[in-house]
Amino acid sequence: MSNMLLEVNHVGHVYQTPQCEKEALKDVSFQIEEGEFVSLVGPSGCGKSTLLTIIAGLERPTHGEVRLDGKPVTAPTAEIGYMPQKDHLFSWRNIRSNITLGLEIQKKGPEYYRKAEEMMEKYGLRDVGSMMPDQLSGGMRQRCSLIRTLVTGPRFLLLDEAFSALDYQTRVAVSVDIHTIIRKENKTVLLVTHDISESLMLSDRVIVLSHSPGTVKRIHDLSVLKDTAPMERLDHEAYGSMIKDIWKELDIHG
Amino acid sequence: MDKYRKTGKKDLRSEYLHSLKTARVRIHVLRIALLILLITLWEVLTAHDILNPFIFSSPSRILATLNDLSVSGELWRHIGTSVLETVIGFLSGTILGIIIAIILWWIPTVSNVLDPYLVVLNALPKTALGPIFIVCMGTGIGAIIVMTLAISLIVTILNVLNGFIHTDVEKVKLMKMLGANRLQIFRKLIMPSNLSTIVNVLKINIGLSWVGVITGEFLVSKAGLGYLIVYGSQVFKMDLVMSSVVVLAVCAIIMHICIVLLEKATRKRFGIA
Repeated sequence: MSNMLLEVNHVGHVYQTPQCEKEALKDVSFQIEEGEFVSLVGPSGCGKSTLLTIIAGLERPTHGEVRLDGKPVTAPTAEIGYMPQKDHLFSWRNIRSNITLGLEIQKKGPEYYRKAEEMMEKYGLRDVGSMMPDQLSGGMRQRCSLIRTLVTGPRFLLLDEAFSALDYQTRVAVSVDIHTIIRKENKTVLLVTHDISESLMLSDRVIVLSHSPGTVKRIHDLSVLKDTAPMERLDHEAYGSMIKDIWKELDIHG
Repeated sequence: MDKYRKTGKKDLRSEYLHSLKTARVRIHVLRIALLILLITLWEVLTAHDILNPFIFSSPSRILATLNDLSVSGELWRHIGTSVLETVIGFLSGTILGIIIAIILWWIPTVSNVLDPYLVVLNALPKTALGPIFIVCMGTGIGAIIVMTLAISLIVTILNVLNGFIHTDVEKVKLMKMLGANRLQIFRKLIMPSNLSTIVNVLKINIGLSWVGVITGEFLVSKAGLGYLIVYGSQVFKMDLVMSSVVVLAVCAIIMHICIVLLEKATRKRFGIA
């Protein structure tokens, strides 16, 4: 099992508040291979975001551990890139300096800035480099947000409901766009989402979390869809039954 | 021929722009007309003794008083004193307030401990502290500046700290994930995203500083517009009181305009909406 990039081992988390004690996660375990695109779906309030905060290293779990490339994750690390739900581009910085924000913070050398320029060129952002974020469309902003995450050179990407702030049509277009870039850059990804069709379109595997406390209910292997492009998966014969399966497992009413 | 060709989109646009301009000009004209009307009414009513000119003064009396004062150089001394006090009070209140807000944001324990004190100080009418300042600082410019400081400081701290604390948590999370330490979070996120809060605080403070200076000058002082107002009322020279109020209004407006210009410059420079 040496090619496992991310290991989540028996993670459990109990929230303490003055009013009560709430078990958010219970014995969550899964692994992600290098180069894999995995989605984590679950009903709202199932502890998805708690799990994401733990994997990101922003919070320590009460039980279990997270390992990246064999090393335990206990604090945010440059190895893990994080792409938030909204683009969160800073309105007072132009696109170029938004993209290099992480490089500034991590005090990276000029070779990283050259790489940033190359990526902007490669993904059609060179001409908008000196524009301000509010001059760009939602889709372009999301692309900038991804490039900002990628330029610091993380090995593993966490996408936190990365497209759900967009309207439906933009969401589909942007998710395919982001997926293409991630594939080109050959990154390993965990996408946290509540959108089943999004997870089926983009991923190699889908992890279904159950409701409070969050536990892994089932892991779907999408190898059937492996060689099918995201948009074409919608027409694949296996797609319909998979959506139904996951829908049932999510058990919205239970 | 040309007349027929010019119909269509462009014409509609220029018509719209023209109507915007006309509306703007009309509002300006009406504003100035209202001012002229009020001043004329004031002059006419007092000239015919319908309003008592010894109590309400009149525009012509005010002009005469201002002329006398400015010829003797008195006017400029009083304006200079008040403006200086206001500027010093404004700058120290604002800068000190922002520094304290930064400290409170940086060390949450300190802000938790001081919270009830700030609430009480905020609720307390600061003018009540005036006599204490006079006893401590003497009857000079010092007491007046401390008075001004007391009035603007707490409001500044509370507003700025509130802005700092309510900076989008998702953006803070993003900064943390990019590896930012607290200083970087402050410099690259908290400060720039709160520029508009700070500009608003400046606007509030310029008004509050004038309140502090005038109140201070009412209590102690041998010069300044507040002193002129109190002196004028004590010797029943209402012309002097009214003239001082007019000058005060003009000074306050000029300072407000300066802040608005500064605001425009910062918005342009930092691209805040």
